[in-house]
Amino acid sequence: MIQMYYKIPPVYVESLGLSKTLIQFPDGNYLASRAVMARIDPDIDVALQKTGGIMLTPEQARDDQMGIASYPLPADEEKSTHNSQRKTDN
Amino acid sequence: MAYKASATRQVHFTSKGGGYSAIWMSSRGDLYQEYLTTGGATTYYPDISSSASVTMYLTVTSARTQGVVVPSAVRYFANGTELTFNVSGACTTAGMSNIFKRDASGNLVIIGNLGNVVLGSFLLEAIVSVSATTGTDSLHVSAPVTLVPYTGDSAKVTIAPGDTKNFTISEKGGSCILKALTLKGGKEVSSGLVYEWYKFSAGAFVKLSAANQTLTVKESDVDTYSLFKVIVKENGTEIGYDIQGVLDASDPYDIIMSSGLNPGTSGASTTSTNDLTLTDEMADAAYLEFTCQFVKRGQTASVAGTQTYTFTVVAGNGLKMWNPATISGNKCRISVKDFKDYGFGLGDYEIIAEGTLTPA
Repeated sequence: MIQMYYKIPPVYVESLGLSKTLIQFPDGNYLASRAVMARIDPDIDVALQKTGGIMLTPEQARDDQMGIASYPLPADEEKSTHNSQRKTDN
Repeated sequence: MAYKASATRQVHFTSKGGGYSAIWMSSRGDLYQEYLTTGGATTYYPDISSSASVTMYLTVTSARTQGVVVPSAVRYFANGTELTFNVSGACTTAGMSNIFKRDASGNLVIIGNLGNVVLGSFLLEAIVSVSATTGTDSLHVSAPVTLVPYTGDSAKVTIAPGDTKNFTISEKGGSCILKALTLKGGKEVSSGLVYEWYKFSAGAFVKLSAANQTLTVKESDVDTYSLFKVIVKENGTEIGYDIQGVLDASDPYDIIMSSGLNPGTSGASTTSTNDLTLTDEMADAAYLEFTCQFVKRGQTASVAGTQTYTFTVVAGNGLKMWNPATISGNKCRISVKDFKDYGFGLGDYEIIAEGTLTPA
């Protein structure tokens, strides 16, 4: 079974007191392990829903850390789409 | 003026600490062979023979003297069996005479297919003796060999020395060359491949502008020991990667990283260890402690001045896992619980210490 990783927004990492321990992605979100997610909710699906996070394979997480791929959180993606839409409207 | 240096330790791996470090690497990068048995005959890719041999280069450096150190003796082992050689360098160990020899410089040379000894896991080891003022010190280095069934088109990427310097820069203004080798079906290929090179710096692998098969690393690019990584792509898809450290033995400063183990039981003290292994059967509170000190080559005392360190735990695939807290300015601890909380599961991890020194 492959170990999966999670990308979650800073607000949850700060609330756990782990902002100095966990590794930040270039987009400002954080890499979290399954054990960290379990502190938010033991049910991983619920934890993902609560945080608005996404699941990554170790390779996806590594490529995102290195800036050779980008896996945005749905909320960030929406924001970016919304902003570009506003620019187009203006 | 502030000086930078870095040091790494591989956890879950036995290594001799202290003032010496060594790189033992083959002229073709990681040792890797695929085998295909048809009828009674086994074919190896790439084929190793006396006319297509692989030399294992050994470079030993000391934190206390500038440049490289010449070992007083080296003993070689293949899967735990010590290899013996006659005066002309031929191997006299039973069953190994067609596989190994020793060259005039004392390097181990592989002249036959390792699968002819045993198929499966294979480990080459060397015990290196170095004459020190306090007697003889020794360190242990190993080179695992990957022997897998023939896989056709799957690719294996490895960083090999692109010159005879074996990833070591031993003089000011010097350089060394890294060469990305891609094996497909056991044969070396380079056509149609795209190379991306990275250097580990300030806690991250930073992409370099270089895009050739070889990368020339200058002395000014390396803070005592720096990690470089290559990703090889074909038609836009990653087909493999490798990470390799480069040692600058000419840097005036080095970091000595000593290690201790605390079993995590109440009242137990931390004792010095070179066995950098934690197991999931240990108490959650059990930890390895790493203590860093800047030293000037040629001297043994810690350098006076302000020293700051950051620590990063990196998994074998290059994924940065977490930053252990810096304790007392120059230490970090990595516990069983940390691995359970932030780790990738069981396996090998690198602990990277990056230090900055502002001399007093």
